[in-house]
Amino acid sequence: MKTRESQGARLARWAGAEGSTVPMALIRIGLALLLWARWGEDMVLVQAEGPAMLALSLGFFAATAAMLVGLWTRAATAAAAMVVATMYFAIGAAGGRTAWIHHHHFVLMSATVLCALTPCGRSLSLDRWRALARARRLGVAAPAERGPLLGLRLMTAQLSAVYLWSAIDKCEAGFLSGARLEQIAGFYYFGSDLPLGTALTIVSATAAWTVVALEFALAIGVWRPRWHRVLLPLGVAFHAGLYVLLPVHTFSATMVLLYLAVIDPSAVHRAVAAALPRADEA
Amino acid sequence: MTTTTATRTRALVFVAVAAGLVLMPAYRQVFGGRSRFVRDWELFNEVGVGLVVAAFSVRDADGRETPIDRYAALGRERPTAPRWLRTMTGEAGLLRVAGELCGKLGAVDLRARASIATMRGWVPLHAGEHDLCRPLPPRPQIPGTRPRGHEDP
Repeated sequence: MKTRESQGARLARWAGAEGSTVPMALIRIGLALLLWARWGEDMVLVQAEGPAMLALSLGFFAATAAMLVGLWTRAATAAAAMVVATMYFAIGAAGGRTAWIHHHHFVLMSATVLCALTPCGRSLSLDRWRALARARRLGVAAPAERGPLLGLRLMTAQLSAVYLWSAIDKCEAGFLSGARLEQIAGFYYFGSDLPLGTALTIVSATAAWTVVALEFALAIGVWRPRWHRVLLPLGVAFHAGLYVLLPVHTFSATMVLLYLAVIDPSAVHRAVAAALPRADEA
Repeated sequence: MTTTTATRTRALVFVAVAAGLVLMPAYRQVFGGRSRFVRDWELFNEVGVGLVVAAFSVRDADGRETPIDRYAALGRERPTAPRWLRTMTGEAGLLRVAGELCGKLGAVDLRARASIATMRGWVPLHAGEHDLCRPLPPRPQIPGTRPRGHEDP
Protein backbone atom coordinates (compact mmCIF):
# COMPACT_ATOMS: atom_id res chain seq x y z
CA MET A 1 0.00 0.00 0.00
CA LYS A 2 2.83 2.29 0.95
CA THR A 3 4.58 1.48 -2.33
CA ARG A 4 1.42 2.27 -4.29
CA GLU A 5 1.09 5.63 -2.52
CA SER A 6 4.66 6.54 -3.24
CA GLN A 7 4.25 5.54 -6.88
CA GLY A 8 1.13 7.71 -7.08
CA ALA A 9 3.01 10.63 -5.56
CA ARG A 10 5.88 10.04 -7.96
CA LEU A 11 3.48 10.06 -10.91
CA ALA A 12 1.88 13.24 -9.60
CA ARG A 13 5.26 14.91 -9.26
CA TRP A 14 6.33 13.78 -12.71
CA ALA A 15 3.10 14.74 -14.47
CA GLY A 16 2.78 18.00 -12.57
CA ALA A 17 6.42 19.01 -12.82
CA GLU A 18 7.58 22.31 -14.19
CA GLY A 19 10.55 22.88 -16.45
CA SER A 20 11.97 24.86 -19.33
CA THR A 21 9.47 26.19 -21.86
CA VAL A 22 11.99 26.05 -24.72
CA PRO A 23 10.97 22.57 -26.00
CA MET A 24 7.29 23.50 -26.14
CA ALA A 25 8.21 26.73 -27.96
CA LEU A 26 10.15 24.76 -30.55
CA ILE A 27 7.21 22.37 -30.93
CA ARG A 28 4.85 25.35 -31.30
CA ILE A 29 6.95 26.82 -34.12
CA GLY A 30 7.32 23.44 -35.83
CA LEU A 31 3.60 22.72 -35.58
CA ALA A 32 2.67 26.08 -37.12
CA LEU A 33 4.90 25.31 -40.10
CA LEU A 34 3.56 21.77 -40.40
CA LEU A 35 -0.02 23.01 -40.23
CA TRP A 36 0.72 25.29 -43.18
CA ALA A 37 2.47 22.48 -45.03
CA ARG A 38 -0.47 20.11 -44.58
CA TRP A 39 -3.54 22.33 -44.61
CA GLY A 40 -2.34 25.66 -45.99
CA GLU A 41 -3.22 24.95 -49.61
CA ASP A 42 -6.69 23.65 -48.70
CA MET A 43 -7.35 26.68 -46.52
CA VAL A 44 -6.44 29.36 -49.07
CA LEU A 45 -9.39 31.74 -49.14
CA VAL A 46 -10.15 31.03 -52.77
CA GLN A 47 -10.98 27.43 -51.76
CA ALA A 48 -13.48 28.52 -49.08
CA GLU A 49 -17.06 27.56 -49.89
CA GLY A 50 -19.43 29.72 -47.89
CA PRO A 51 -19.01 32.12 -45.00
CA ALA A 52 -18.31 29.40 -42.42
CA MET A 53 -15.34 28.02 -44.35
CA LEU A 54 -14.15 31.55 -45.04
CA ALA A 55 -14.18 32.30 -41.32
CA LEU A 56 -12.40 29.03 -40.62
CA SER A 57 -9.72 29.85 -43.23
CA LEU A 58 -9.18 33.32 -41.79
CA GLY A 59 -9.03 31.85 -38.29
CA PHE A 60 -6.56 29.19 -39.47
CA PHE A 61 -4.10 31.64 -40.98
CA ALA A 62 -4.45 34.28 -38.24
CA ALA A 63 -4.04 31.78 -35.42
CA THR A 64 -1.17 29.82 -36.96
CA ALA A 65 0.70 33.00 -37.96
CA ALA A 66 0.45 34.36 -34.40
CA MET A 67 1.42 30.91 -33.13
CA LEU A 68 4.51 30.87 -35.33
CA VAL A 69 5.88 34.21 -34.19
CA GLY A 70 4.60 33.81 -30.63
CA LEU A 71 2.24 36.76 -30.44
CA TRP A 72 -0.53 36.37 -27.80
CA THR A 73 0.73 32.84 -27.95
CA ARG A 74 -1.58 31.01 -25.52
CA ALA A 75 -4.68 32.45 -27.18
CA ALA A 76 -3.26 31.93 -30.67
CA THR A 77 -2.34 28.30 -30.01
CA ALA A 78 -5.71 27.60 -28.38
CA ALA A 79 -7.44 29.20 -31.38
CA ALA A 80 -5.33 27.15 -33.80
CA ALA A 81 -6.19 24.00 -31.84
CA MET A 82 -9.91 24.78 -32.02
CA VAL A 83 -9.73 25.53 -35.74
CA VAL A 84 -7.80 22.34 -36.52
CA ALA A 85 -10.03 20.21 -34.28
CA THR A 86 -13.06 21.68 -36.08
CA MET A 87 -11.46 20.83 -39.42
CA TYR A 88 -10.74 17.27 -38.34
CA PHE A 89 -13.91 16.37 -36.42
CA ALA A 90 -16.63 18.63 -37.81
CA ILE A 91 -15.61 18.88 -41.46
CA GLY A 92 -13.54 15.71 -41.82
CA ALA A 93 -15.22 13.10 -39.61
CA ALA A 94 -18.77 14.43 -39.38
CA GLY A 95 -18.86 16.28 -42.70
CA GLY A 96 -17.42 13.42 -44.72
CA ARG A 97 -14.31 15.17 -45.99
CA THR A 98 -12.23 12.07 -45.36
CA ALA A 99 -9.17 13.53 -47.09
CA TRP A 100 -8.74 15.49 -43.85
CA ILE A 101 -8.88 12.62 -41.38
CA HIS A 102 -5.88 10.50 -42.22
CA HIS A 103 -3.38 9.39 -39.59
CA HIS A 104 -1.03 12.30 -40.23
CA HIS A 105 -3.90 14.77 -39.87
CA PHE A 106 -4.85 13.28 -36.51
CA VAL A 107 -1.37 13.36 -35.05
CA LEU A 108 -0.94 16.96 -36.21
CA MET A 109 -4.31 17.97 -34.77
CA SER A 110 -3.66 16.12 -31.53
CA ALA A 111 -0.22 17.70 -31.13
CA THR A 112 -1.69 21.17 -31.70
CA VAL A 113 -4.39 20.60 -29.08
CA LEU A 114 -1.79 19.35 -26.60
CA CYS A 115 0.51 22.27 -27.44
CA ALA A 116 -2.35 24.59 -26.44
CA LEU A 117 -2.08 23.11 -22.94
CA THR A 118 1.50 24.37 -22.60
CA PRO A 119 2.86 27.85 -21.83
CA CYS A 120 4.64 27.69 -25.18
CA GLY A 121 4.84 31.47 -25.53
CA ARG A 122 7.31 31.94 -22.70
CA SER A 123 10.28 31.18 -24.96
CA LEU A 124 11.31 32.02 -28.51
CA SER A 125 8.39 34.37 -29.06
CA LEU A 126 7.38 37.98 -29.48
CA ASP A 127 5.62 37.56 -26.15
CA ARG A 128 8.99 36.72 -24.59
CA TRP A 129 10.60 39.71 -26.26
CA ARG A 130 7.84 41.98 -24.93
CA ALA A 131 8.14 40.48 -21.44
CA LEU A 132 11.91 41.11 -21.44
CA ALA A 133 11.40 44.70 -22.63
CA ARG A 134 8.85 45.25 -19.88
CA ALA A 135 11.17 43.79 -17.25
CA ARG A 136 14.00 46.03 -18.43
CA ARG A 137 11.73 49.07 -18.35
CA LEU A 138 10.59 48.29 -14.82
CA GLY A 139 14.06 47.28 -13.70
CA VAL A 140 12.96 43.86 -12.50
CA ALA A 141 14.34 40.41 -13.20
CA ALA A 142 13.49 38.80 -16.52
CA PRO A 143 10.62 36.30 -16.21
CA ALA A 144 11.80 32.70 -16.02
CA GLU A 145 11.36 30.48 -19.03
CA ARG A 146 9.62 27.83 -16.94
CA GLY A 147 6.16 26.33 -16.88
CA PRO A 148 4.13 23.16 -16.37
CA LEU A 149 5.27 20.20 -18.46
CA LEU A 150 1.83 18.56 -18.61
CA GLY A 151 1.40 19.17 -22.34
CA LEU A 152 4.79 17.61 -23.08
CA ARG A 153 3.93 14.58 -20.94
CA LEU A 154 0.73 14.12 -22.92
CA MET A 155 2.61 14.40 -26.22
CA THR A 156 4.80 11.58 -24.93
CA ALA A 157 1.64 9.55 -24.31
CA GLN A 158 0.48 10.30 -27.85
CA LEU A 159 3.79 9.15 -29.31
CA SER A 160 3.73 6.00 -27.22
CA ALA A 161 0.16 5.20 -28.29
CA VAL A 162 1.00 5.59 -31.98
CA TYR A 163 3.98 3.24 -31.74
CA LEU A 164 2.19 0.72 -29.50
CA TRP A 165 -0.91 0.29 -31.66
CA SER A 166 1.04 0.42 -34.89
CA ALA A 167 3.25 -2.40 -33.60
CA ILE A 168 0.25 -4.42 -32.38
CA ASP A 169 -1.37 -4.05 -35.79
CA LYS A 170 1.71 -5.55 -37.43
CA CYS A 171 1.81 -8.63 -35.20
CA GLU A 172 0.26 -10.94 -37.74
CA ALA A 173 1.75 -13.55 -40.02
CA GLY A 174 1.14 -11.57 -43.19
CA PHE A 175 3.32 -8.71 -41.97
CA LEU A 176 5.98 -10.65 -40.08
CA SER A 177 6.62 -12.91 -43.08
CA GLY A 178 7.58 -9.79 -45.02
CA ALA A 179 4.72 -10.28 -47.47
CA ARG A 180 2.87 -7.11 -46.49
CA LEU A 181 6.01 -5.01 -46.98
CA GLU A 182 6.53 -6.66 -50.37
CA GLN A 183 2.94 -5.82 -51.27
CA ILE A 184 3.42 -2.19 -50.25
CA ALA A 185 6.65 -2.09 -52.28
CA GLY A 186 4.75 -3.62 -55.19
CA PHE A 187 1.92 -1.12 -54.90
CA TYR A 188 4.20 1.92 -54.88
CA TYR A 189 7.26 0.82 -56.85
CA PHE A 190 7.33 -2.51 -58.68
CA GLY A 191 3.70 -3.06 -59.65
CA SER A 192 3.06 -6.60 -60.84
CA ASP A 193 6.77 -7.04 -61.67
CA LEU A 194 7.68 -7.54 -58.03
CA PRO A 195 10.53 -10.08 -57.89
CA LEU A 196 8.95 -12.52 -55.43
CA GLY A 197 11.00 -15.32 -53.92
CA THR A 198 14.27 -13.47 -54.21
CA ALA A 199 16.46 -11.50 -51.83
CA LEU A 200 13.57 -9.06 -51.55
CA THR A 201 11.66 -11.63 -49.47
CA ILE A 202 14.57 -11.96 -47.02
CA VAL A 203 14.99 -8.19 -46.84
CA SER A 204 11.24 -7.69 -46.34
CA ALA A 205 10.97 -10.26 -43.55
CA THR A 206 14.02 -8.80 -41.79
CA ALA A 207 12.64 -5.29 -42.18
CA ALA A 208 9.24 -6.39 -40.86
CA TRP A 209 10.67 -7.84 -37.64
CA THR A 210 12.96 -4.83 -37.23
CA VAL A 211 10.08 -2.37 -37.63
CA VAL A 212 7.88 -4.20 -35.12
CA ALA A 213 10.71 -4.47 -32.59
CA LEU A 214 11.59 -0.80 -33.04
CA GLU A 215 7.99 0.32 -32.66
CA PHE A 216 7.51 -1.68 -29.46
CA ALA A 217 10.84 -0.35 -28.18
CA LEU A 218 9.80 3.24 -28.97
CA ALA A 219 6.37 2.74 -27.36
CA ILE A 220 8.14 1.85 -24.10
CA GLY A 221 11.36 3.78 -24.63
CA VAL A 222 9.86 7.25 -24.95
CA TRP A 223 9.06 6.94 -21.22
CA ARG A 224 12.57 5.81 -20.30
CA PRO A 225 15.21 8.57 -20.48
CA ARG A 226 18.07 6.08 -20.33
CA TRP A 227 16.98 4.58 -23.63
CA HIS A 228 16.73 7.90 -25.46
CA ARG A 229 20.34 8.19 -26.55
CA VAL A 230 20.06 5.01 -28.61
CA LEU A 231 16.38 4.85 -29.37
CA LEU A 232 15.52 8.37 -30.50
CA PRO A 233 18.19 8.50 -33.26
CA LEU A 234 16.86 5.13 -34.46
CA GLY A 235 13.35 6.60 -34.42
CA VAL A 236 14.51 9.62 -36.43
CA ALA A 237 16.19 7.34 -38.97
CA PHE A 238 13.03 5.21 -39.16
CA HIS A 239 10.83 8.22 -39.83
CA ALA A 240 13.31 9.66 -42.31
CA GLY A 241 13.18 6.36 -44.18
CA LEU A 242 9.38 6.37 -44.16
CA TYR A 243 9.36 9.97 -45.40
CA VAL A 244 11.61 9.15 -48.32
CA LEU A 245 9.94 5.85 -49.25
CA LEU A 246 6.23 6.36 -48.66
CA PRO A 247 3.67 9.17 -49.02
CA VAL A 248 3.44 9.85 -45.28
CA HIS A 249 2.96 13.61 -45.79
CA THR A 250 3.58 15.41 -42.48
CA PHE A 251 3.48 12.27 -40.32
CA SER A 252 7.23 11.70 -40.06
CA ALA A 253 8.01 15.35 -39.40
CA THR A 254 5.32 15.62 -36.73
CA MET A 255 6.47 12.47 -34.94
CA VAL A 256 10.11 13.60 -34.94
CA LEU A 257 9.07 17.07 -33.78
CA LEU A 258 7.25 15.48 -30.84
CA TYR A 259 10.52 13.83 -29.76
CA LEU A 260 11.28 17.27 -28.29
CA ALA A 261 8.53 16.54 -25.76
CA VAL A 262 10.28 13.36 -24.70
CA ILE A 263 13.77 14.74 -24.13
CA ASP A 264 14.68 16.35 -20.79
CA PRO A 265 13.50 20.00 -21.18
CA SER A 266 16.62 21.42 -19.54
CA ALA A 267 18.80 19.57 -22.06
CA VAL A 268 16.79 21.08 -24.92
CA HIS A 269 17.09 24.49 -23.27
CA ARG A 270 20.86 24.15 -22.97
CA ALA A 271 21.18 23.04 -26.59
CA VAL A 272 19.13 26.00 -27.84
CA ALA A 273 21.03 28.42 -25.60
CA ALA A 274 24.30 27.07 -26.98
CA ALA A 275 23.07 27.41 -30.55
CA LEU A 276 21.45 30.82 -30.02
CA PRO A 277 23.38 32.48 -27.18
CA ARG A 278 22.05 35.93 -28.01
CA ALA A 279 18.45 34.78 -27.72
CA ASP A 280 19.19 33.45 -24.24
CA GLU A 281 20.91 36.66 -23.13
CA ALA A 282 18.39 39.09 -24.64
CA MET B 1 8.04 16.75 -0.71
CA THR B 2 4.45 17.99 -0.49
CA THR B 3 2.33 17.52 -3.58
CA THR B 4 0.42 20.72 -4.28
CA THR B 5 -3.14 20.91 -5.50
CA ALA B 6 -1.93 22.16 -8.89
CA THR B 7 0.41 19.21 -9.20
CA ARG B 8 -2.35 16.77 -8.25
CA THR B 9 -4.72 18.36 -10.74
CA ARG B 10 -2.15 18.10 -13.52
CA ALA B 11 -1.54 14.47 -12.62
CA LEU B 12 -5.26 13.72 -12.81
CA VAL B 13 -5.54 15.49 -16.18
CA PHE B 14 -2.51 13.54 -17.37
CA VAL B 15 -3.97 10.18 -16.33
CA ALA B 16 -7.37 10.93 -17.89
CA VAL B 17 -6.09 12.31 -21.22
CA ALA B 18 -3.20 9.84 -21.55
CA ALA B 19 -5.59 6.94 -20.90
CA GLY B 20 -7.84 8.27 -23.66
CA LEU B 21 -4.95 8.61 -26.11
CA VAL B 22 -3.56 5.16 -25.33
CA LEU B 23 -6.84 3.24 -25.09
CA MET B 24 -8.84 4.96 -27.84
CA PRO B 25 -7.39 2.93 -30.75
CA ALA B 26 -8.63 -0.27 -29.10
CA TYR B 27 -12.14 0.71 -30.17
CA ARG B 28 -11.18 0.13 -33.79
CA GLN B 29 -8.24 -2.24 -33.57
CA VAL B 30 -9.56 -4.62 -30.90
CA PHE B 31 -13.33 -4.25 -30.94
CA GLY B 32 -13.73 -3.58 -34.66
CA GLY B 33 -15.56 -0.25 -34.28
CA ARG B 34 -15.50 1.92 -37.38
CA SER B 35 -16.26 5.43 -36.13
CA ARG B 36 -14.47 8.19 -38.00
CA PHE B 37 -14.21 10.09 -34.74
CA VAL B 38 -11.86 7.50 -33.31
CA ARG B 39 -8.36 7.10 -34.72
CA ASP B 40 -6.67 3.74 -35.16
CA TRP B 41 -2.97 3.35 -35.87
CA GLU B 42 -3.20 0.79 -38.67
CA LEU B 43 -0.79 2.64 -40.94
CA PHE B 44 -0.68 1.60 -44.63
CA ASN B 45 -2.77 -1.29 -43.42
CA GLU B 46 -4.47 -2.35 -46.63
CA VAL B 47 -2.12 -0.86 -49.19
CA GLY B 48 -1.26 -3.40 -51.86
CA VAL B 49 -3.99 -5.91 -51.01
CA GLY B 50 -5.27 -7.42 -54.25
CA LEU B 51 -2.01 -6.81 -56.13
CA VAL B 52 -1.27 -9.60 -58.59
CA VAL B 53 2.25 -10.68 -59.45
CA ALA B 54 2.25 -12.79 -62.59
CA ALA B 55 4.45 -14.33 -65.26
CA PHE B 56 2.83 -15.16 -68.59
CA SER B 57 3.86 -17.86 -71.00
CA VAL B 58 2.62 -19.40 -74.24
CA ARG B 59 2.27 -23.18 -74.32
CA ASP B 60 2.85 -24.97 -77.61
CA ALA B 61 1.29 -28.21 -78.84
CA ASP B 62 4.05 -30.26 -77.17
CA GLY B 63 3.34 -28.67 -73.81
CA ARG B 64 6.51 -26.58 -73.82
CA GLU B 65 6.09 -23.10 -72.41
CA THR B 66 7.80 -19.96 -73.68
CA PRO B 67 7.80 -16.99 -71.30
CA ILE B 68 6.48 -13.76 -72.75
CA ASP B 69 7.11 -10.20 -71.75
CA ARG B 70 3.66 -8.62 -71.51
CA TYR B 71 5.01 -5.15 -72.27
CA ALA B 72 6.89 -6.23 -75.40
CA ALA B 73 3.95 -8.39 -76.54
CA LEU B 74 1.63 -5.39 -76.33
CA GLY B 75 4.14 -3.01 -77.92
CA ARG B 76 4.61 -0.98 -74.75
CA GLU B 77 7.51 0.03 -72.56
CA ARG B 78 7.17 -0.35 -68.83
CA PRO B 79 7.84 3.28 -67.81
CA THR B 80 5.09 4.57 -70.10
CA ALA B 81 2.73 1.61 -69.88
CA PRO B 82 -0.75 2.27 -68.46
CA ARG B 83 -1.34 1.43 -64.79
CA TRP B 84 -3.60 -1.56 -65.56
CA LEU B 85 -0.68 -3.19 -67.36
CA ARG B 86 2.01 -2.35 -64.79
CA THR B 87 -0.08 -3.07 -61.70
CA MET B 88 -2.65 -5.82 -62.09
CA THR B 89 -5.22 -5.71 -59.30
CA GLY B 90 -7.43 -8.68 -58.49
CA GLU B 91 -8.10 -11.58 -60.82
CA ALA B 92 -10.05 -9.16 -62.99
CA GLY B 93 -6.85 -7.16 -63.51
CA LEU B 94 -4.96 -10.29 -64.50
CA LEU B 95 -7.70 -11.35 -66.92
CA ARG B 96 -7.79 -7.90 -68.50
CA VAL B 97 -4.08 -8.12 -69.34
CA ALA B 98 -4.58 -11.74 -70.49
CA GLY B 99 -7.42 -10.58 -72.75
CA GLU B 100 -5.20 -7.91 -74.31
CA LEU B 101 -2.43 -10.48 -74.87
CA CYS B 102 -4.83 -12.97 -76.42
CA GLY B 103 -6.12 -10.27 -78.76
CA LYS B 104 -2.58 -9.32 -79.79
CA LEU B 105 -1.03 -12.80 -80.03
CA GLY B 106 -3.93 -14.48 -81.81
CA ALA B 107 -4.90 -18.09 -81.23
CA VAL B 108 -2.40 -19.08 -78.54
CA ASP B 109 -2.58 -21.13 -75.35
CA LEU B 110 -1.79 -18.44 -72.77
CA ARG B 111 -0.82 -19.53 -69.28
CA ALA B 112 0.01 -17.55 -66.16
CA ARG B 113 1.69 -18.26 -62.88
CA ALA B 114 0.30 -15.70 -60.54
CA SER B 115 0.02 -14.86 -56.87
CA ILE B 116 -2.34 -12.38 -55.27
CA ALA B 117 -1.70 -10.21 -52.22
CA THR B 118 -3.90 -10.75 -49.16
CA MET B 119 -3.57 -9.55 -45.58
CA ARG B 120 -2.32 -13.06 -44.75
CA GLY B 121 0.41 -12.95 -47.37
CA TRP B 122 0.72 -14.15 -50.96
CA VAL B 123 -1.85 -16.67 -52.16
CA PRO B 124 -1.52 -18.66 -55.43
CA LEU B 125 -4.01 -17.41 -58.00
CA HIS B 126 -3.00 -19.34 -61.12
CA ALA B 127 -0.46 -22.12 -61.55
CA GLY B 128 -0.61 -22.38 -65.31
CA GLU B 129 -3.53 -24.80 -65.18
CA HIS B 130 -5.83 -22.81 -67.49
CA ASP B 131 -5.60 -21.38 -70.95
CA LEU B 132 -6.44 -17.75 -70.25
CA CYS B 133 -7.54 -17.22 -73.85
CA ARG B 134 -10.50 -19.50 -73.19
CA PRO B 135 -13.36 -18.90 -70.76
CA LEU B 136 -12.36 -19.97 -67.27
CA PRO B 137 -14.42 -22.56 -65.40
CA PRO B 138 -16.19 -21.31 -62.25
CA ARG B 139 -13.62 -20.88 -59.49
CA PRO B 140 -14.02 -20.33 -55.75
CA GLN B 141 -13.39 -16.77 -54.58
CA ILE B 142 -10.07 -16.41 -52.73
CA PRO B 143 -10.79 -14.73 -49.38
CA GLY B 144 -8.90 -11.62 -48.34
CA THR B 145 -8.06 -10.32 -51.80
CA ARG B 146 -10.00 -7.12 -51.25
CA PRO B 147 -9.38 -4.46 -48.58
CA ARG B 148 -11.25 -5.19 -45.37
CA GLY B 149 -12.66 -1.69 -45.30
CA HIS B 150 -10.63 -0.61 -42.30
CA GLU B 151 -9.60 2.58 -44.07
CA ASP B 152 -12.07 5.45 -43.83
CA PRO B 153 -13.98 5.62 -47.12
